[in-house]
Amino acid sequence: MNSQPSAPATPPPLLRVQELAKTYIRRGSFTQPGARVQAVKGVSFSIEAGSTLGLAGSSGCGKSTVARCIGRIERPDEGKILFDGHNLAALSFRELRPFRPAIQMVFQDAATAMNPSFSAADIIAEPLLIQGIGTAEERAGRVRQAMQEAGLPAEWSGRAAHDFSGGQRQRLTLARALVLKPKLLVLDEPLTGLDVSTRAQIANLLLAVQAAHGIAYLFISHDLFLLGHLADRIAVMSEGQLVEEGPTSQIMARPQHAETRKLLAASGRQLAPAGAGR
Amino acid sequence: MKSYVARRLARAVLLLFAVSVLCFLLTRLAPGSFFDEIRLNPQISPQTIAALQARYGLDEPLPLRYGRWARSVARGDFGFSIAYNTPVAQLMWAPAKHTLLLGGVAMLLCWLISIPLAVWSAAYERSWFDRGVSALTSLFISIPEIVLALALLAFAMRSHALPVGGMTSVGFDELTAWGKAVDIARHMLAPVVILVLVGTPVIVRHLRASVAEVLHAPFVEAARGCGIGGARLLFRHVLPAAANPAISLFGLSLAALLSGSLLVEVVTGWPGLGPLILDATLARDLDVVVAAAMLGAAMMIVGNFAADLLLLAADPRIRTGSPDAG
Repeated sequence: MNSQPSAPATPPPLLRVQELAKTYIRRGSFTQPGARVQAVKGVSFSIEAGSTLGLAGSSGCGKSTVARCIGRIERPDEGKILFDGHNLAALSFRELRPFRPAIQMVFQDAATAMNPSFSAADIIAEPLLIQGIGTAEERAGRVRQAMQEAGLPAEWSGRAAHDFSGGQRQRLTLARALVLKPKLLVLDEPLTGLDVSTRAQIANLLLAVQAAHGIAYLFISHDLFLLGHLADRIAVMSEGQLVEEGPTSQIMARPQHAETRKLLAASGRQLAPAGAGR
Repeated sequence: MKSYVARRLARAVLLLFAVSVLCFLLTRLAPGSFFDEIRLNPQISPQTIAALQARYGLDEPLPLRYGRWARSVARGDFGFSIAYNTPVAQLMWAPAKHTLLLGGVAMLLCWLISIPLAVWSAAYERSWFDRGVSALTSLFISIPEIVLALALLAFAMRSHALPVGGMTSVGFDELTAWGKAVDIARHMLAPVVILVLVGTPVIVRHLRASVAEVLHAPFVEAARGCGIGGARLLFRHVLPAAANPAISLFGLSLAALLSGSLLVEVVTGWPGLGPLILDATLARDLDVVVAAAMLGAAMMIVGNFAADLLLLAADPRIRTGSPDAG
């Protein structure tokens, strides 16, 4: 993955998304005709290595679809996802496998994002297994290491996911994402639904992990105030399109678009009783 | 864990006792008696019949008769068959083995066919394969077992492709071991096919529904996001998470091992418990009927218990509350 076509003077960004578009087809029934829903249209942005891009927007604006396209759970209909010089949007499921370790996802609801019939160790080790990394012993070592990095005692590796509390579960999904040593973490509302003190703990953990490993984050949230603390740059989406993008200080101080101002006002109001969910 | 098993065992014994009292009472309260037919014969005097009834203790009060029956159960005889003049246990042993063979083979085939069918039809939801499976399962669920059995019998009779009735051909004893196995397998084919056609659709429908539900769960997307796909995703990630309804069904099919094939046995002439129980019921050979009912109840208890243990082993969510979570 070190082939860089004609390297320019400044290093290219880690991830460059160009004109991304995704349309869902809602299946019809006897009473309702099917419908095409354009979730994302013409979205472009880039993320520098080791930096955080905050992607903000109210619910249904298409920000999760962007996350799923970059994590390649979905295949975008149009546009390019350039990662380390490769267009991930054009690759098949099989061809994507060598790129999977570099891009990992963390989901909003940690409870449903982990297999209920697996132990914590199985959950974290499965990505290593599928990539064919290490012997059983080495994998166990990396599982312990990932759990410690996520702030979980390694002795808990035999427990099932449901034996962990909400915040611990999110740490577990983070450990699963970190075990492959990714370059980019796509975090889809990772703090939503957690209580205030847990949110702060996980947010600090994310900052510490980034400082230690230089991982880039695409941090998706409806909470602009939170992104103001975590992100280097912020992009705002509305109805499937990117409406504003810039350095965090600029977006927070001088929001240009009406949607940005609305989100800013909303996140200011919900400061005290946070965690309202979607 | 030990106390859990002990509690379940105690409850099972209690349940079996209750079933035995009920079965015993209800069969004795039913109209008719084994000697009704002889009573129609004018050459046999009422005195002879009264003597026969006294010999088998049929004139005693019910609690006494139940006590005698319970002692016989304790001895391992499970009552006495008036029609065959032997202890019930001896009478039922061979047919029970035949029924177990038929039920076991049918159950194994049912599950071997159902699991891949259900998983694949859920994985390719709304595909032609899925629609085909769905149509066929609906069809076979709605056809009564007896109609299927008669249709298959008619086919076997006309085509002469399959032997009909019994379990072995004439001259079975002269065959080699392999020849014997083939002969039994040929006789077993018709009843097994009927049982599989009846049993498979139920399992496929339940398992397909739960696999389809799990396939939409976020953790499956997370697994796909790690590059896990194909059979590994379906059979290592999805199937264990979707297995609970199937495990409960598995317990039920264990419970039905000795009782699920009775009708098919009667229709196809398989020498199992089915024909024996039918004859015993018609002849009012009551101890045989009670023993058969007890056997069914015992199998139900065993099947449910096995399913609970399997669920406990398969699903960590059910293990909550056990101190050894690690």
